[in-house]
Amino acid sequence: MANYVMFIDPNKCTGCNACRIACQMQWGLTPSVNYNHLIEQETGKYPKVQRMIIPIQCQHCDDAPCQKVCPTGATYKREDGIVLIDAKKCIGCKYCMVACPYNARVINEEGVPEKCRFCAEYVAQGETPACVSTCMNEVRIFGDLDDPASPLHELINNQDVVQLRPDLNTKPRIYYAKSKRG
Amino acid sequence: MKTNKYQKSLWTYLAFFLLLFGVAGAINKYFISGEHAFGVSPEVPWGALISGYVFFAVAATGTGLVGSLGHVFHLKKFEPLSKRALLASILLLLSAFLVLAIELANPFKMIYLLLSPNLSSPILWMGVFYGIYLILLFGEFYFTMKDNHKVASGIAYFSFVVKLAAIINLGRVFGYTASRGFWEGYYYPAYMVVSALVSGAAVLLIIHYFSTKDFKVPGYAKTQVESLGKNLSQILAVALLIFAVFQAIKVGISLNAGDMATAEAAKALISGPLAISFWAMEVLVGIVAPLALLLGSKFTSMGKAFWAGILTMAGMLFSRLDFVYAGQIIPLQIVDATQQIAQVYNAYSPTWSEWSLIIGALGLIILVFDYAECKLALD
Repeated sequence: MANYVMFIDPNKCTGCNACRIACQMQWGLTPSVNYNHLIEQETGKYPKVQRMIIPIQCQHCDDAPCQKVCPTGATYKREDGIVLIDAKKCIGCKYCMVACPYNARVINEEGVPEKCRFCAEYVAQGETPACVSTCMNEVRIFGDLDDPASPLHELINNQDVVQLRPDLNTKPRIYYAKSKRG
Repeated sequence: MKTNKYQKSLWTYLAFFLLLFGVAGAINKYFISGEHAFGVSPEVPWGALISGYVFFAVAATGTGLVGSLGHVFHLKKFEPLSKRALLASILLLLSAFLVLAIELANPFKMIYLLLSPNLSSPILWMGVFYGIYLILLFGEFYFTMKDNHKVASGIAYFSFVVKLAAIINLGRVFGYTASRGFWEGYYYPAYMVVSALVSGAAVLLIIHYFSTKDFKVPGYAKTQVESLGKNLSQILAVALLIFAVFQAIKVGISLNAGDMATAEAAKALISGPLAISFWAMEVLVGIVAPLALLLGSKFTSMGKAFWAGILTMAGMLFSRLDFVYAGQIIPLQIVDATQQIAQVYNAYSPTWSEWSLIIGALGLIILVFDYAECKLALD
């Protein structure tokens, strides 16, 4: 069984939004619905101000708050680590949206709070997620953490990586390269 | 059962008009605007309808709690209230479910609460407890109407435990969200219990005023009516004072919280976008004015007690609106908890459809209660 994770290097991100648009095209989303977005973070004080652009999407947490609060079990986690939502069971209470610390969910036209699926159906056919394959700077790398041949193995185990909101203990499956901009 | 002809009054027409307004809001959601009928967004997923649900559900539970002084604790003075308290609880809880059902995007899929329940979800337990509570309410009301008080009392004991569990769990729905610092923890379960007592006493004061204002109740002396009114007023005053202390402690602790998002949410409540709603409606209308009316009249004026009840319920509605929005008003600190919070708020304003559904539910309660007063032997 694969152990899917993603590595994101915000230091390389230009903020072109191609990842967001590729995702919208892949899943046929309306312009107002997107499963990933960019946030800008400023650090330092004038004149030494640094700006980081951080790609944000569902973190596919191992201890996912959205899964814990979903009353009908519509949100579930697969053995390969991907968190998905079964629209058939979703009552549309939006508790998962309230519980998610990453603002990863957005309500779709069917009233289902959808989110990044790590392109599960495409990954099953050996493809990479749209946001990964479209990125000109290779900001994202997706793959099986247990595969020693995967570049992820080296990147996550040997590079200085961080996760978002580690204090919440959600155990995200997306690892970010540390900022090189101070 | 009474066979009185239903006499339409000004209240009937007013309630019918309110109900029509609610129906218009529901039509807008289901046939015209869909999810866009409501002002919620990915940043503020829960809006006025969740507040409305909490308002009605807590009022239903509180009315049951205060009403149980007669059936469960056998305080004879409160027994004349039992039937009306039960009926009010049923109508308030049905309204809560109705508002929630319209808020939910796919209410018919609630069958999966039974088919694939997630036992760690507080919302699942909310459905379980309030579902059982509604069944027990119907049972208790039926046997009370049949004057089978032995069975009714038996149900009432069980119902008392269920309603306490329901109200504490309702607070847990909010307290369970670690990403929303303002809600997280044990405060909201306690808030729900205290505010249930406030709502319950206020609802029963309003009902008591209408059902006894002409002192027509057979076998029920004017002194008994006044004495019960005085006791309900005292319960409301004490509950309001405790509620005020609770809220002051909550705001004080939140303002000094180490977590920046929690402190900013409290600031938004007392000096930010929620300040008018908090100070004018929740504090002045909902706490100060009712207390002034009750204490000023030394609990002896039924008219002032009635208005204290009305003002308290108006304040309670805004209390629900305030805390639901306050929990979501600060943008999430997605990257890390120490990142500086920009001085911007997540915007939310209830739409006319959201208001109409809450107001419509009130109309429905008044209409059905008025009809039941005429048709059922509630005295």
